[in-house]
Formats: sequence, C-alpha cells, structure tokens
Amino acid sequence: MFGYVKPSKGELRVWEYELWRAAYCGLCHTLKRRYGVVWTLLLNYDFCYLAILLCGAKDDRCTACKKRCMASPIRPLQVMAGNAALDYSADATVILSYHKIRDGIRDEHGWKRLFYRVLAFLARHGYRRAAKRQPAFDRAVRENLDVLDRVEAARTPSLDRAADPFAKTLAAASEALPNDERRRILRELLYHTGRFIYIADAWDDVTDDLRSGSYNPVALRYNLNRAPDADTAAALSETLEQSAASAIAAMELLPLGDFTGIVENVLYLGLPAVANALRENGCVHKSQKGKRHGSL
Amino acid sequence: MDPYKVLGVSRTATDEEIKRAYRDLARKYHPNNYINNPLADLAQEKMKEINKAYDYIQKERAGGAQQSYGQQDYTSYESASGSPEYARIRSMIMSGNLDGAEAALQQMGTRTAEWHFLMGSIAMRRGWYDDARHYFSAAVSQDPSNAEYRAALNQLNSRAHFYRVNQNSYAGHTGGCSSCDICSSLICADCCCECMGGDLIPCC
Repeated sequence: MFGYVKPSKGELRVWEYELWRAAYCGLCHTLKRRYGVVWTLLLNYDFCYLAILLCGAKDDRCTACKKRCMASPIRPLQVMAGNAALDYSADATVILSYHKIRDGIRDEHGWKRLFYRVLAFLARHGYRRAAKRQPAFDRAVRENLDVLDRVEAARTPSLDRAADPFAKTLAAASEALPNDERRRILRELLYHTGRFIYIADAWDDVTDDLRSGSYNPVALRYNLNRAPDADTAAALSETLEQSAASAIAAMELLPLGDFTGIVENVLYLGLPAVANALRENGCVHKSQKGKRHGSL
Repeated sequence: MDPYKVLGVSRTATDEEIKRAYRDLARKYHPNNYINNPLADLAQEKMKEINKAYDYIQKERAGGAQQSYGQQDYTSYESASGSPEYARIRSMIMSGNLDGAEAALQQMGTRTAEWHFLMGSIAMRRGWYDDARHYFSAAVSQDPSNAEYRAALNQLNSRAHFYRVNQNSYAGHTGGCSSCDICSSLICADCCCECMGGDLIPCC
C-alpha cells in the first residue's frame, strides 16, 4: 500500500534483480489479465514482495516468458509467467485497494469524498470478483479495518495497538500457503513487516497529520506538536529495527529457494533505508510531501 | 538427510569451512534470537538438526578438532511468582493464550512490578515492542533489584543491537566480505551473548 518494502537495488546480484523485475512485471500482467488494465495503476512493491514470499515458500517452479506492455511497447521484457502466488497477490491488491477507497469516503470531505465515491463506484466490479476469489482474505481485511476504525476513533496513543490491525491484515495473506508450518512462519514474517510499514507510514505523516488534526499514533504516543526530535527518532528507529529483526528471525526458518537473497536484501537493507530516510529527512519520498496519513 | 546439506557445505569442504558454516548457522538459529518468539520451537528443531549434522561430520572425520557446541538453557518464565494468580497467568503466557492472560491481568486491581513485567511479556510475544519497552521499564523502576525484569529489558534492547550487527555483516557480505568482517561480527555477537549470560564462542 505504501511501496516501502523494496530491495536495495545496488546490493542485489544481477540475476536476483532480474527475478525481482520479472515478478513485478508478472504481477502487473496478472492484474491486467484478471481485472483489466486500469487496475495495473495500483501495482506496488509491497504486493510484489508478497508474491515473492508466496512463490518462494510454495516451492512452485517459476517460469519466465518475454512480453511486451505499455511501459515497454517495443522491447519485450522478461516476465514471470502467471502462477498461484501472483494470482493471490493480484487479488489481495484489489481487495486492499478497494477498502482503502472506502476508507477515503469515510475520512474525507467535499470534493475529495466525491472523488473517492466515483472511484469506489468504478472499482466495485473488480472488488466483487476479487472478494469472491479470496473470501477469507476479504473477511480478514474487513474485520481488521473495523478494529482500526475503533482505534482511530478512540485516539489510542499506543503505537502497537494502532499497528496491530494493519499487521494482522497483511498476516492474513499467509493463508494462501497450504503447509501448516510454513503458513505459521509466513504469518509472523508478514505481521512484523506490517507493523514496520504501519509505524513507518505514521512517522512519515506526522507533520501533515498535525497540521490537519488527523489521527496519528506516533504524534500521540510521544506527545508531539512538531516533527520528532532526535531522541524520539532514535526510539522510533529502534522499535522499527525490532520488528525487522523479528521478520528476519521468521525468514531464517522459511525456505525461499531462489528468492532468499531478495528477501534478505529487503529485510536487511531495504527496511533500514526507510528508517534512515525518516530519521534524516523526516520523510521517505520527498516528492510525496503533503499526502495524508491514510488509515491503511 | 545429508549432514553436509544441512550445513550448506560440500563434501570436500575443509574442517575450517565446516566450522565456519556451523557457527554462522548456530548464530542464526540461536535460542537467544527467539526468546519470547512464537516460532521458538521451530528454531529449536533447526538448531538440533544443525548440531546433529555437525556432530556427525565431526565423528565421520575423526581426528579433526573435536568441539562440542554447548547449547545454553536460556531463562524462560518459569521463575517463582509472588502469587498463585500470577503463576496461572505465567503458564497462560507460556502456552500462548495471550488474550486470556491479558484479560486476567486487566481485571487485577493492583499494578505491581510483576504485573507490568507480565504485560510486557505478552506485548513481547505479540511483537509489540514499543509497549513491551514501556511495561518492562515500569517493572524495572518499581523493583530495580529483580534480575528477571532487568534481563527482559536487556533482551529487548539487544534485539535492535543484534539486528545492526547482522545487518553490517550482511552488507559487508554482499560487498565482498573480508575475514576480518566475519571475525569482528562474531566477536560482537559473542559479546552480546555474554552480556545476556550466554556464550557463542566458547574459547573467548
């Protein structure tokens, strides 16, 4: 949902980078095939990461093919051929995005609310199809978003209670695995990654939320009325590192085959890069200044 | 299963390479990395497998350096509780019934050091590290003499430290790892273990 979870490119081996690209393109093609070309606009790194985890943990043989697309109309690119992991990730992208739009209708006012209403209207068919394909995931997302709404309404000052519903939402994607033991490990891995994403996003949005008065667990937890100072930033980095450490502890137990290097790179280098950017600049993507902290 | 495969080395690997592979794996799956972690049982299985493979190879190559890896018993929350109610809650936490344990704690009127410690243990198991820090700090400040509470707070602090150590060795690894990097991170990890009362490298 945020694009925080991605590898540090320079540190990947060339074949690993190509595999990551192929999975990313594969997810895009899967979204196009299953839901139509408009939905490919929702493509993001977090679900590519999910697809990679599922591919690796399932021991599926991933085959590649060459395909052209709108982004590369002349030269065909290496694309991961459609498989169950990509299908699941595409369904999850659609389900979570639709709920994010519904959330926008509740939170926004005026023209923006109208805009979200139009989006929700356009997206309803895709969402219905996705929810039919993955009813368990859809139910988990709805339940956890209800909990999140209550946490926001009560203006809970705890980072962990606020992060829990989103982390659980992501962890629900582990039910795509048939093997009990691996599902248990993946649930932990996704839970800790989800906690990291949620807290990092809340930190990213502190100044904007303070201006608009929206709910922000980081601001409430540390009683902030401006951007976090050095001490608060250090405490936040540490709590993020603890989640990353737990995600790694789970990852070490999960056989991921060819994808091991990419996932290690994401957890050891990609996530700390996010925390460092937040500590040093106060935001992850400079261009995104002004965006609100969504509840997703 | 092939013990060489378990350690991820070839049959022609030197004793030194096997030892290094074993130490790297032992560091990864060490019980200290999985304290209060719901996956601790799986890590323990993995550790047993690695120890067995290493012992097997050592025996097979009789004459090579005999070194046994002493697996420490890390402290679990079996220590004495002040009241039978707390003891009941401790066993609920150990068995993974976190919601039940939390509800039982919320019903109690008094907020003793142990109460804070148990709330912290629940948060820790859930991966709620910010809440865990809050509760463990409260437990330590209420009862600074209790070693169990201090150990829990130290363990929480060492998590982030471990991550940074591993991250450095990982970054060094992909950028062309020198033997110096490996040694320094091993020594660093050993120091971490020792301050927790464990030991990674028995000889230093």
